[in-house]
Amino acid sequence: MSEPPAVTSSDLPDPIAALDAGRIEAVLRLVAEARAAQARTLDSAIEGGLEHIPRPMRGLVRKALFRREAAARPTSQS
Amino acid sequence: MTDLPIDEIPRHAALAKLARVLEVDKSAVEFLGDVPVEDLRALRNHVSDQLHEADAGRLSRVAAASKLIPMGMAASIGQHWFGATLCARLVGLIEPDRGGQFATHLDVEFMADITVKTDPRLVGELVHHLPLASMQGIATTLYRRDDHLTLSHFVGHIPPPIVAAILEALTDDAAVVRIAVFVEDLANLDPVVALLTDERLLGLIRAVEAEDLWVEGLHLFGHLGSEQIERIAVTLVDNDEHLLRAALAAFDRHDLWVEGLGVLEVIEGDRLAHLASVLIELDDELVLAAITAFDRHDLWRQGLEILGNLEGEHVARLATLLTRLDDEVLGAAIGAFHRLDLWSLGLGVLASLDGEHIRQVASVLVSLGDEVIDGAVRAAVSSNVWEPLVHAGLAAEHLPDAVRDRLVAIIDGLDDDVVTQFESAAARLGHEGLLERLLQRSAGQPG
Repeated sequence: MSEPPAVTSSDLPDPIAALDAGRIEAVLRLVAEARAAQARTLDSAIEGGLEHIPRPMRGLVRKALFRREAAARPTSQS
Repeated sequence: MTDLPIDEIPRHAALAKLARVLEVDKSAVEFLGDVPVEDLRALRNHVSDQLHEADAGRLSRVAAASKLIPMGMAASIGQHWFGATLCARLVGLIEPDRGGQFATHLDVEFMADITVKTDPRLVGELVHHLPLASMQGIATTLYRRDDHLTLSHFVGHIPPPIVAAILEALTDDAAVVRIAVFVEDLANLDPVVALLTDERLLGLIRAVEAEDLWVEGLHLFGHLGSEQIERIAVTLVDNDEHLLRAALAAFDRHDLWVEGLGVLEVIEGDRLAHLASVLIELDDELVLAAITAFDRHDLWRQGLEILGNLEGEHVARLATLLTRLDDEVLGAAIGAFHRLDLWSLGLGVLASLDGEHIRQVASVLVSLGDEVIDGAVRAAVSSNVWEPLVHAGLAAEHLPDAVRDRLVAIIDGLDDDVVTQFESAAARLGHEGLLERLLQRSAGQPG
């Protein structure tokens, strides 16, 4: 699973970023949880979906799904 | 109907939509309840953008990979493995014509699920490629689920003729009203309402009445353009009186006089006279509540523009009811007659009262100051309506000296022939020498 970059208060729209610290933190937590849940769902959807594809096509689809991601990973982790 | 005050509806909708984007219960975002609605919308769009961007690379590759397999298989994998949320993320990444083709492979329940999760800003061209039957099926499904929030989300992002065509599939005449509760820019519904036939519009208003959706209905009507507001007002006034009476009663029940008169104030001519007669024929308590509301919400202009069309017995009924108001509201009503140059109605009201009640009203009138007294006297003189003026004079005999002196000075300052007419009228009514007695009192002599 690829880790999305952390969300910070500077990522929030100005009026929200101007709220008190407690509420900003709560908003950031909700956004982070939604992003993490989406990433988890996408991981399992891709794995499960691939299993559903007949073997002759699966390799091609896997290649399309992961080729560029594999290439992109070192960059995103750098 | 919603239990929410009309002003709270936009905030409720904004929080509900934010919660939906975050995939949490609305209670989880209630801590943002005091944040301005515009800022909540900005946050929602921002969160949606973040969620789209967070996995943009992988989602794009999923969209591209879906082309490598048969569409039916891709649709099946989408439904069973990806689910509605991720499919909604793909909406903006798949070519619109392919999106339209997918619709033929997905069942309507799942398309409704995807619609719930879709950011309406990304729909764009897709709606032009989706079969109308599919969109109507999705709308019907969402409607059956009472998911008016999702339906509302797309108003403003889908061309009005398509929205109207989708609404045609909904058998509920009040559909547009229920959806409007959650629509952010209600002006976007104006062209949709414009496309409703007169018959459907009447059905809509009847449904609003039948289900007591007046709060929601007036929330929508008040945001429409003048042409559609007039259609609604005319529909209300031109059809059976029961509908109009029910509307007026609802204005009172929900304290919607501001919004209600905001719609009805476009009525003119015979329709206005009809509206006035229906209003005055309501139960006493309702009419009194209406007049009190005119005062509470400073709606005298709108209210008296309606009541100014009363005639004959209806004026007498208004007069009788006015005498049941407390002096403060009665004074405000008289002040409004003066301010809005409606003394013709004011004098009609006075003239239809018996002497005792004229004195009651006159007592309030003369306490309102020189300008109002002067206006009333001059209006009475120019209209040749003497009886109220005589009774005002009689009332003045029992008023504090300063107030009485003002009235007497105004009457005495009129042209001689006018003063003569006043004295003749007083004599005719059995009060010969009234002005003289008043003058003597004002001069400090016994009457």
